[in-house]
Parts: sequence; C-alpha cells; structure tokens
Amino acid sequence: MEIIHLSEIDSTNDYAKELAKEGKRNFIVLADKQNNGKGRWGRVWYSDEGGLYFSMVLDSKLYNPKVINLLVPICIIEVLKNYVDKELGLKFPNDIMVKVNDNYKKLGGILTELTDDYMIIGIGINVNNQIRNEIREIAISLKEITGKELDKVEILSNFLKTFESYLEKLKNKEIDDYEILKKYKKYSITIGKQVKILLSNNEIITGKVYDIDFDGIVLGTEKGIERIPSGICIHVR
Amino acid sequence: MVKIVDTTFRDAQQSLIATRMRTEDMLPIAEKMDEVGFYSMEVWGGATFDACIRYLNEDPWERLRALKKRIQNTPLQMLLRGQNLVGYRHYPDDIVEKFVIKAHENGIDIFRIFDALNDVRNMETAIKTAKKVGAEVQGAICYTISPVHTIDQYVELAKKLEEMGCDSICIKDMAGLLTPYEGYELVKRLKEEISLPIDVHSHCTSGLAPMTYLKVIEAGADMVDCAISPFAMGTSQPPTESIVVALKGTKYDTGLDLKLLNEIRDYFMKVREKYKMLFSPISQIVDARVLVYQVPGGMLSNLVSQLKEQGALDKFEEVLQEIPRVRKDLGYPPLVTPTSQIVGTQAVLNVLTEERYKIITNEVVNYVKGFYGKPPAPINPELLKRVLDEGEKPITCRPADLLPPEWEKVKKEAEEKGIVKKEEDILTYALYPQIAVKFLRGELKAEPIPKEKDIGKILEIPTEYIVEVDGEKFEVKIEPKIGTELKRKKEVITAEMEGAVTSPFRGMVTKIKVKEGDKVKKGDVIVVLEAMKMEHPIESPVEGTVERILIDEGDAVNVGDVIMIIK
Repeated sequence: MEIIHLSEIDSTNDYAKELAKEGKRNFIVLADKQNNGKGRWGRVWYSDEGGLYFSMVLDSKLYNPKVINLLVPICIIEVLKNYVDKELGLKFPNDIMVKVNDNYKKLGGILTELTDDYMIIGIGINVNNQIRNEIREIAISLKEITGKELDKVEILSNFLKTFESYLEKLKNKEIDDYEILKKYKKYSITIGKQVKILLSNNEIITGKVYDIDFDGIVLGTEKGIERIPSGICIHVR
Repeated sequence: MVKIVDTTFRDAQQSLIATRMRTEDMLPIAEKMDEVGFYSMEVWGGATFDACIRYLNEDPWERLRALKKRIQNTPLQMLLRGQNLVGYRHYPDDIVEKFVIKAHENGIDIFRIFDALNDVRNMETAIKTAKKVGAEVQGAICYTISPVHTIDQYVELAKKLEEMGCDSICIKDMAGLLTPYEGYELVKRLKEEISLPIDVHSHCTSGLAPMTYLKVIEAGADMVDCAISPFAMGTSQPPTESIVVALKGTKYDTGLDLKLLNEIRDYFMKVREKYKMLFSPISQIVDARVLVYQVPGGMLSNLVSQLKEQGALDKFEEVLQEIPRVRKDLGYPPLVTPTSQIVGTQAVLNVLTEERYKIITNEVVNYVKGFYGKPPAPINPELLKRVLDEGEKPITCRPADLLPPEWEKVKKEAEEKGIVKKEEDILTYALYPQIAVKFLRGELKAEPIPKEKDIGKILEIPTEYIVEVDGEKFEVKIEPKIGTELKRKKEVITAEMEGAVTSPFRGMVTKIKVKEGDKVKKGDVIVVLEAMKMEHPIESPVEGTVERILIDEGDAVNVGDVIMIIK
C-alpha cells in the first residue's frame, strides 16, 4: 500500500478524502502531527508530535466495511501486544485501551468514514507524544508505559503487514467473517459490562452488554433485549 | 448421569410465544449455551421453519447456519415430522430425502423424527436418509391417552424403531399427559426391552412434567428435555436449572454448571421482556383440563391466536370441549402437528359455524381418506360416509407411495419464477409454495413485536366508523397516531342483501372457483380461503347464478365480509 508521509496536516482523514474523491484508492496518509485531528462525532483528537496518525483509504466495493471496521482494531491490538506487556482491550465502538493499575486508559482510537465508493479509516495511536494534562486521567502513551521511545513507522508497517495478511486470508477463505467477529469479542472489554450509551440524538440508554456483532451492540435494558447500531453510539461508559 | 436436551430455541419458544423468537435474539447467547454441555440443543424444525418465513421474514436455512457457527460443541437437533418434514402434508420421498440431506449439510446433527399417527411407514424415508448421511436419529413415539393406546403398543413401536436403525428413542409427550407413575412404567419397560438410550420430552401444561421427569429418571431415562427458566413451565418444558439442582449429588447428577445457567437465564429474562406481550396467560398457567382435552402446548397458544384472529376468543372453552369429540371421530390420533391443527381447526370450524362438519377442511377429508396414514382406531362411520364418494375407499398403503417424485418439477417451477439463489430455496418453495414465492422475492415484512400500547386501550376502541354528512355516508378509518383516512363509499353492500354470501372466518382468498355469471348448485365450492394455516373450501349456500364477485385472489377477508352475491 502506498504511503504518503506528511510532516503536518490539519487532518489525515480530510486530506485522504480529497484524494479519495479524485478516485485514488489503497493508500495511506501519514502525518507527524495533525493540527485539527478529528475524533468521532466531530470531537477533537489531540495529535501532537510523536504520535502515530494515519488514514487508510480502501475501496468499499471490494471489502465488507462492517468486517473491516472490526478487523482494524484487532490488528492494532495484535501489533501493540508486541510492544507492551500489559492487557490491551477494545472499548466499543472503537477505542484501543490498555489496563494500567486496574484502570483502562485510552491508547488509541479509530474514526471510520464510509461512502458507497470508498472507506477512510483514520487511526490515532499515542506512541511517543506527550499526553496533554486535561486528558491524563483517561489517556496514556506507549512511551509512558514502556519507558522508551518507539519507532512509529515500524508500528505502522507491522500494522499493515498484519492487516494485509488478514485480508489475504479472508480472500482465500482461510478464515471467515465470523472468526473476525470472534476475535473482536475476545478483545472487547465492553461485553458483560453495565453501560450507559450516549446516542447521537442525545438520548442515554443504559443496560448490560450481552453481545457485539457486525451491526452494533446488544443491550439488555429495562425494555428487554435491544440492538443499538454502532453508527449512533457516541460513547459508551 | 442424566443428560439435558435444551429446547429453548425451538419447542420452548414455539409453545410459549408461537415461535416468534427472532434469530437476532438467539445469536448473542448461542456461544454461551454451547459451553453448558447439553446433550443437544433443539434449534430447528417443528414450526420454526414456517414461522421464520411467514411471520419473521427470516430465512430458516440462514438461521441454522448462523447457529451452527456459534454452537460448535453441542450437537444441533431438529424436530422432523416424518413424511411431513416441517410442513403440514405428506411430501414425496425425493423431497424428504433432499430436505434431510440439506438440513444435515447446514448443521443438523440429530434428527428427531416422528409421525403424528405413530405410523412408522411415514418415518421410513426420513430415518433411512438421516442414517445414510451419518446423522444421529432419534425415533419419537407420540404419547397420548385414549381407549386404544397401551404401554405394550408403545413398547412394540419402540422395538420397531430400533429395528429401523434409530440411535435413541424419544417419548414425545407433547401435551404433558404422561403421569409420573405411568412414565415410570413406560420407561422401565422400554429399558428392559430395548437397548437404546431413552429421552423423555414433556410439557408442563398440566403441571405433571417435573414430577414425571424425576420418576422417568429413576426408571432409567437417559435424557430429559428442558428449557432455560424464563422460557420454561406453562406449555413449555420444565426448567433446566430446577432439574439440574434436583439431581445434584445423586447418581443422576447432570454435571451442569448452575452459575453458567444463571448467566444464560439473565439474558433470556431480557429476551422475555422483549416478547412479553406474546406470552399468553392461558399458556402460562397450569391447566389440568389438558388431561381431559389433551391439547399440546404449542396447539394451545395457536388456538388462542387463531380464535383471537377470528375475534372469537370467547369460544375458547367451547372449542376445548369440541376437540376430544373431533379426535374421537378421527380415530384418536395423538394431537401433534399436523393432527393437532387438523383436529383443532375442524373443532374451531365446528364451533364457529355452529354446525358440526358444516365445513370440512381439505385436511380432514384427506385424513379420512387415509392420506396421512393409518389412524389408531377406526374413523366414525358417519363422517367417513360424508367424506367419501359412492364406492370410494380409504387407502391402505403408505401414503407417500402414491406421491410421484416432485423435485424436478418444483425445481423447474421455482427457477422459472426466478426465486432460486441456492438449492435450499427450492425446498422452501416445495414446502410452502404460496408464501415462499413472496418470501423469496423479498415481498414480505417481519411482523412487528406487539407492544403494550398496541394491545391495551387502542385496540378496544373501534377504528372503523360510518359517518353521515348531509345524507352522504363516508367510511372512516381511524388509525392510532397516524391520523384518519377518508374513503368515499361508492356502493353499500351488506350481508343483509339478497344473495349475499359472507366469509365464515378471517383469512386470505387463495382461489376463486367461479366467475360472474356462472350457475352454481348448493354445496359447490366457490372460494378457497386460507385461514389458520389451512385451506378451507367455501361452499355456495344456495343454488343460483353468481351475480357479483366482491373479492380478488389474495385479498384478506374478515368474518362476515360479503364475498359474493349469488341469486
């Protein structure tokens, strides 16, 4: 996959989108820092120098976006496992978490934008960047955990290797969608928890998480079993 | 050690919520249920196939595959109605073979095969095919009580099933009639005289099942059928948890983990909440009257919904009284699909039309003619005379021997209709030709799950009014929330008009047998209605000419709707 490496940009997702609109596919936009990094629902993703920030553009006709959506976080976990000896987990919908002193802290996040033609998967991982004070309670960097600087380009290339090998296996039918789902669930730290979900219409829904699948989250609420599509979940607490 | 067969996804939900549980509510817990260590999980067959297509707009084959993916350690089991497969009529051997092969391919490990009349000839092809594909076959004996049914007969039947190659025997007590001591005797005799494992399947309808389970276990039963507690009791099976605890520490200990079962229970409590309006109080409260009427669990909840559909829930008691009479007339068939529908629907008709056998369903006609197999006792001679033509005799051979192969024909038909994406679609079409076409074309929608407010006040208020403005009549329909709809009525045709023929029940017009201008005799079939999952021929009440036909094929009609004018 072609990698376009920029020293700084407003947002790798936005830049990737411009190119995607022109018809470009299968490439990555990597930036050393983002001046206006985006999180889900228009929130800010602090993207100071030292972190790994990139956006990957795929043809949405060639891949099932629902599968890719679960596959990407799995690959990130499987790569980061080689760098930290702490427990890593996925918080629904798309946060990469690490367990430090019995607390899960955010190590990375994923923002997917989907059209009929292309999908842009934006990934931010706190590698060597200094975590800003206002989010120190909830976020952490790899450097902080391991006590040393890590090579973020190496992390990216390991991610790509892992990701592409999964795609290959899916293509050759060595594994199927369900096995991806199973892996995702194995890493999920949300299943089994009592949660509060903030929905895009500002409604808050509470219940116990029984399952996660390609379409969303299965919640046991007062009204019984309910399915909440991933797309409308702003965050889960 | 006693083993548990879990029925939550099939018989339990069929008995309690008329088979309306959606696949999406099964998948999230399937993996956990797989960890329990059930002997098997009954997840398919019975009414699930029909309900998937008809009410849930779901492909039953896909459900099976999705479950198989998640349940890899526990064998999956289905209930197969012998030559009737998962339908309501006899299918030719080639369809039966194909169905069994495909069911096995898609994930069924154990076939529980029965025939409603305990006529083993109707089980032969299914058993043979299931053995051939390497599946486990459980031969089921439909348990019932009647002046003609004895323990000796059941033992003989079990021996026959053993000879036919079954791997285990199931006592299928679909109505919950088996008493603890009778069950003890039966299982003891079976254990003495045959060498196969014995599975007891009962329903709590009459309140006996948990007690019966204990006694049959003492008599040596190897497996019992249970459901997770939120979907147990009532017309369903005894709860797994209670049986597990009852046997703990004894030589019958199931070894199942109660903590894990409680986690599963926790989930199903939420599922139950989702479907709570489908749980009918009638099917949840112990009803010892079943010992008199012998109506199986699934049939009770079906009867309730049939009568509700016909707006005649008040006739429930009367229908319950009529069922044993119809059953006697038909030679005491055990009541299980399809005989329960055949007897039940005829009983409903006998009550609703206020004259016994005024309308005789096609199914009863075929039953009487022997097309379902040999009834346990002779059929009421008067009914026989009414149904048979001069000189006609019921058949005595295996009914399927009269059925020519169908596979190539339905395959061609289905392909011409353009509804075949996979081979299984042809089977779906072969089983339910009418509804399958709509389903496979994607024209169906899942029925909504009833919510409290739908059933509460709103439905009790009439929603259709005739409003007169300046002498002109308007038919007004009021729909909750959405608003009103005005339809100018062109011509008023009422049931009081001369020659008006009304629909005796609510259903769908499947065939109109006459044209306007045709001359008809009294008793000629003019229309075929599909109601309560069966076809009902409607006869002309008079001799005359068809002046008007007010319905089209495919129309839905209500009780009392005028369908034709015949003068």
